[in-house]
Amino acid sequence: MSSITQARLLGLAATMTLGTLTPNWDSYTAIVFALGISHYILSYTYAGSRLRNLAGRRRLWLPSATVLLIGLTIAITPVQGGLYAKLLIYFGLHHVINEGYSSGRSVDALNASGLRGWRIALHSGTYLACTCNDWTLLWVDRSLIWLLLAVVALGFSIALARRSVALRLGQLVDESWFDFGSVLLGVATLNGWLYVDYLDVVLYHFLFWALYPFANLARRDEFQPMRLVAMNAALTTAALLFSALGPFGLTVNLLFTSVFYALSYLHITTSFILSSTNPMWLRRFFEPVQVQRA
Amino acid sequence: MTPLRLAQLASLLWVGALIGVARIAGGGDPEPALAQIETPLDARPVTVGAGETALGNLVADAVAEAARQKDPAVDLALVNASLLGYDRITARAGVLRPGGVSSTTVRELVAYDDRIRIVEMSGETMMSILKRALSRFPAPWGGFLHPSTELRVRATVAERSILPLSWAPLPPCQLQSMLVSGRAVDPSARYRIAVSSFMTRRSSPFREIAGVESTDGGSVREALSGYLTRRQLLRPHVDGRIRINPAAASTRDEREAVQG
Repeated sequence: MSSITQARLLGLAATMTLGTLTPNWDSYTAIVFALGISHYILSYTYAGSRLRNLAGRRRLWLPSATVLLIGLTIAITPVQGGLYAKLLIYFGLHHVINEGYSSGRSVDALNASGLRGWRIALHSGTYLACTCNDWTLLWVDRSLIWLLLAVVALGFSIALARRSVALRLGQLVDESWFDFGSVLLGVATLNGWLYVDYLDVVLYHFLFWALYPFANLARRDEFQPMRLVAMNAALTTAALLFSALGPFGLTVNLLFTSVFYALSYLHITTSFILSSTNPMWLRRFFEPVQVQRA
Repeated sequence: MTPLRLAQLASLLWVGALIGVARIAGGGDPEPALAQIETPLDARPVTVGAGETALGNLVADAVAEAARQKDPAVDLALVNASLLGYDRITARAGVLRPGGVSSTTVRELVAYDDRIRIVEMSGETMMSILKRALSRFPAPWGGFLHPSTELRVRATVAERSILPLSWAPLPPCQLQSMLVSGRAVDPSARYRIAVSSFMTRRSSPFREIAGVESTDGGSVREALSGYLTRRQLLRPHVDGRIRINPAAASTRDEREAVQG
């Protein structure tokens, strides 16, 4: 079983456990937001070398500032539904790009751009299906989502089948179970068999990224994964103190929520500059030397 | 056990600890119930955004009662659907089962801490707002309005095409009748209506009342809590306040009203 499959299975199990056993919405929001704040801070901690690389290249300052300005414009542009509605879409973009570019990285046959494109389309369709019960997306016609889901599932299946000759069966299952599983989740949500909330997807994202770096970190130093767990736990605990579950209760909840939203926009925007799970043209643009070496 | 496996195990233990914290700090001691409800409250956006519901009626009545405590001349209340059931109900199915309703449940049923605003508007403006609220039927949307018990509306809305790629403009909603406390709405008369503060914002779909002069009627959540506490035992139900395309919908409405 690959490290990404392990991270996904554990992430899904943890998401379902938290979602089922957390006693009420206030507590659930507090935990998701606290894990999110920790995720955002850690992303900068582990992007230190990329930040230094960026700071040392003056010609990258202007494009970086442009990306940040676009993010700021998205954050401050007033729309119906406010910060929440915009974040649902903006996070969706971040999530599907992450899903598209974190899978199949170690298998040459799965690195083809066509398959990546279909995988991103597939996760866009399933994200839309899983969040279609939210007010923000309630206006989207269900039949349109069904149609989209069918097209992207078919397109992805064909693109995968064309590359399957270069893969062992185990590899094929390992690299595609999550994609087809998310289609099933989308179908179950659209049919009303399951009630998936937008925050469930967000929680899965935070938990997956708390687990996914373990294999890479362990290659550098076998105790690095434990260090990551310890830092995540410390930061989440610190954030929880200012949540509805902390000693101040709901009195500082507005501040806690505002910090979460502000960091969310900052994290997603800067991920286009700093993350390695981005399209190659974007990575090449912000990190020319490393990508060429790779 | 390798350090990698140890880290995975520690992560799962950490998730378990988070659940423990949530159960102790967030839900360890069951909150006292404000009241008991005898009927389920469906808070799913697909339901509260597409027609009259028991939850919409309950909150609208609570808002009207709270507003009248500040201004006895209030005629009725209108509550936008997006204020209701935005968050999941504790049951995680979007439907609150019959039983005790605590202040935490009230926070879940009324998703935003909106204020009640009392605005004065003409009968014509009220009709215009109602037409827009009902125009998307049967598609759910956040601008669907739930009225308090004083209002009775009968409307006709052309059935939407099933084809998703139809860009033709929707025919407007036709109001067949609109009664406030049993009397037909006079387009030129003035009415005092309690609405949620969202509805008076410029970003709301109800431009007619955006930024108009209004008085504060307290918090919607507090209004609902007070309404529940004063009654103790409630049986919220659908009673035919809004009937859209009555020929097609009346059977279902009547059945729900009887069952409710």
